[in-house]
Amino acid sequence: MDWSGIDWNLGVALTAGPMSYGLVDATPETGVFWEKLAAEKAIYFKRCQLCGRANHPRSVVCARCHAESADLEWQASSQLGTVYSFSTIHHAAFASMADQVPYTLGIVMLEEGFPLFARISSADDQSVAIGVTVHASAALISGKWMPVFAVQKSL
Amino acid sequence: LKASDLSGEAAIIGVGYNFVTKSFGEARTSGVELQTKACVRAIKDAGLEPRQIEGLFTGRPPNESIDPQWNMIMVDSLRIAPRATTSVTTHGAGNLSQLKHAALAVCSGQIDYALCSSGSSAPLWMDSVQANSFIEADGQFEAPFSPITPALYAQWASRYMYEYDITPSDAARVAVEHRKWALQHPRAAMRAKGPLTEDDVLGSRLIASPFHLLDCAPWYPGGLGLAFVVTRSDLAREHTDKPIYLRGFGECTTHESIVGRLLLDDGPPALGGANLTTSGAAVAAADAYDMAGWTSADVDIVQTQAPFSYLILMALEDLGFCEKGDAGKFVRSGGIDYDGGLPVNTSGGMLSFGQPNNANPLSLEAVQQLRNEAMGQQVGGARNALVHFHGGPFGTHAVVLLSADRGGAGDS
Repeated sequence: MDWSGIDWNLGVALTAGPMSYGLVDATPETGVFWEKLAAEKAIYFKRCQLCGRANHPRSVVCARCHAESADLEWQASSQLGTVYSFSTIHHAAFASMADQVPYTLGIVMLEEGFPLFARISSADDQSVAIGVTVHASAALISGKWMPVFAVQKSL
Repeated sequence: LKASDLSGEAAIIGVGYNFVTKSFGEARTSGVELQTKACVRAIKDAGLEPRQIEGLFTGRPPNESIDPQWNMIMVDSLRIAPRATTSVTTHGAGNLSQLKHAALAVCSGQIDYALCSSGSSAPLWMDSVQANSFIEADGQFEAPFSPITPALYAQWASRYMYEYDITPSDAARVAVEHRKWALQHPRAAMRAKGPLTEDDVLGSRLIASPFHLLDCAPWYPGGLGLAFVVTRSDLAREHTDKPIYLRGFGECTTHESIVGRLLLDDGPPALGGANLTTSGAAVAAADAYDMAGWTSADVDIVQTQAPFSYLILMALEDLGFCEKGDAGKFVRSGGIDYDGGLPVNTSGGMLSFGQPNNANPLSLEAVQQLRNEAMGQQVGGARNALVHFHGGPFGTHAVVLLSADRGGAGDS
């Protein structure tokens, strides 16, 4: 989807899978994340200007000091993080995923200190493990640019 | 006012239920029909007339319904005029904490009789596997990745195994012991499948690592409507000679989507900070024990809705039956063995009874055990029960302590 030129005060009409749940896709407070991801393959997060906490892109207030969004500044992350947890899916409950199993979904803790749920890949899914370093990029998934991480090759 | 002032001050005086099980050849039923029939049976069991019901507390709408205000649907179906009513929408946990809301309502003195209703026939009407994934996952940041429900709960399990001595064999042992209880219950989904061995569990196909098929709760092949009537304890014996007293309750909600648990910087200390190894059940259970003046040693039977074997291990820790990280050792040493261990999920639980999407056979099982009316294996001498429901990917938790004894000065 082309995320440029969207009026985030109006939002966009959306669906999740076969069901519509209203505002489940990009919303005014998350628009920058999806724009930067699609345009620059960059992972943006919200840095609290009062306490310094790195907040998830969904945050409306700071998770630590509850500062409002005016005090949360969009910043680019280093794109590096470590796998906090993961699960490799072997069962294709969705027809659209039948040719993709097994695929690994996990939670990556970015260097800056915020978690992101994402797809994690490597040449061999077996090498995904808790604690390994992963690097972020973006991939088209379900027709949408989504954050994906790849296990860093050891140097 | 202290929570302990309310311990034992409200009681369940009526129970009604309505199963539809595919293998019994029973007719396909809507959720509203299942619940309505359960409600009128509970009212009759309490010796009341429907017009005497002044409070109505329901769970969330069943998955097969698009009606957001489920209590209102039930008001219409029951044709009553409650003076206190709401849907308790903390996912599955709301189907248990409705008992707390009912107890608080009758203890306010404004009403005498409250009805609690929950139920679902979702597995009769829809693909619960697909639909549930969209409810469990964040619409923007998670659902597009197609995370099946087990993969969300598996985030807890993988981290839990990484931090503590928890093995696939320990989880398999949980599934094996659960099956033994299910073999005794006529309505258990997995009864006809016969007994399990650890090798069966470990050899079943991988669904979402570390979960094998037999580590996962199957959806119940049917539906269940369940209703309880709650009143103040001083009125209870006018209605039944087997009141089941509400001795303690607690709740804790930490997140809606899984990542939220890792963004909780300042939760209650018992959560141990942002992690995926301690759930809100630890807080809910501590509050319930405090209210009742109990410890885990006072509990005769446990019903926990944790829907995956590994999460049952974590729940045993959070509910106080062993130290954090020790559940593997606890189970390995026979801690929840059908023969001689703590009776946990005495109808087979979510793993082997099966999981109706909303109504929960576990609270029914707890009340039937304490009334000495179990449909399956009766636990001899069971007086005190702990019931734990949760919702979301282990995000919202409710604990209720039930007893055949009123406790305190009013003990009988």
